[in-house]
Amino acid sequence: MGWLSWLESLPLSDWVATSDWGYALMLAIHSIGMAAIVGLLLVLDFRVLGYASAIPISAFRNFTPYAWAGFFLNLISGALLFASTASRLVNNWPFLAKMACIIAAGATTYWLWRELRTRSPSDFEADSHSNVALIIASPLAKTLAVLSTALWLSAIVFGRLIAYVMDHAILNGQ
Amino acid sequence: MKKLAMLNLGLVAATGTLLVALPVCAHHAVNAQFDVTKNVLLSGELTKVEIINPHSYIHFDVTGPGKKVTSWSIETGAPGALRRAGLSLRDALKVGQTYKFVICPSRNGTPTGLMSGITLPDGRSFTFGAETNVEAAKDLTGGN
Repeated sequence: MGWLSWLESLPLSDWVATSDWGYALMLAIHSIGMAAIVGLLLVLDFRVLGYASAIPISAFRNFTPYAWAGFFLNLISGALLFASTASRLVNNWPFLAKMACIIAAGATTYWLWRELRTRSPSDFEADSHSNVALIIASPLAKTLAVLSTALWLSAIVFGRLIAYVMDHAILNGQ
Repeated sequence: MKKLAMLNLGLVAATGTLLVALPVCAHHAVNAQFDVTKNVLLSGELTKVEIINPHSYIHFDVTGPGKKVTSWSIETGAPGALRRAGLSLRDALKVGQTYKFVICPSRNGTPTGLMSGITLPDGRSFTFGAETNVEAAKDLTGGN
């Protein structure tokens, strides 16, 4: 437990935990970052599954930097939120489930991107501007899109549960 | 394609239901756990303060009839919210000192509760929660 207490005792962690607005600010940033990552990736997943087929799948590549921006926003705000409550969070099952979901979701998204990039030429059609666009996703890509949606949404739900399970644990003397 | 669209629609509907249901359950959690229509005055020695978000916890040893000591765990607000209300948990609460506190007791009978008021050894009083709880806490502590 030593390093977790040390992490909590750092001035920045303490500012997040006990200042007037530190925790609320971190939560706000975390929500905005979450909207960017999960929002953009859900739209990609839904397109791969066949929605909004007028949009070429290859067009989604333009959103990659914004999804990454959301991810780094959440990596930083999440690290600070963790540092403010570290010793409680490592024993909190929704927190651990959320971390597992994010790792699995990230790997699934990576796999999906790779699958979309490596399709055979027959999967491509020329659009009205004569640009080549991937129109129909493979069954593997569709499976990955369903998995990605399920994992990202689970990460959000487990994230919501963290505080309630923590309260319950404390009130039950754990 | 049509079948797939239906499947997708189902996924969207299920997700939507889940996301709408969560805040509702969050909203009722406090009322489900604590009886917010009751306010009980206790006095005890502070044993531990947990300054955590989004709820802090304060633990007291309350000596009852026959010198029987019961350890109470009391839920209160986020540290930042309490600070904005004028109560710094770190500065105002000292382990070993005796505090008067008003709680909405748990529904399941365990020695736990939701704090609606606290009186510090120096006489300063703080009240929290809905108007009815604030009024009740002020009455019980004889505070301002």
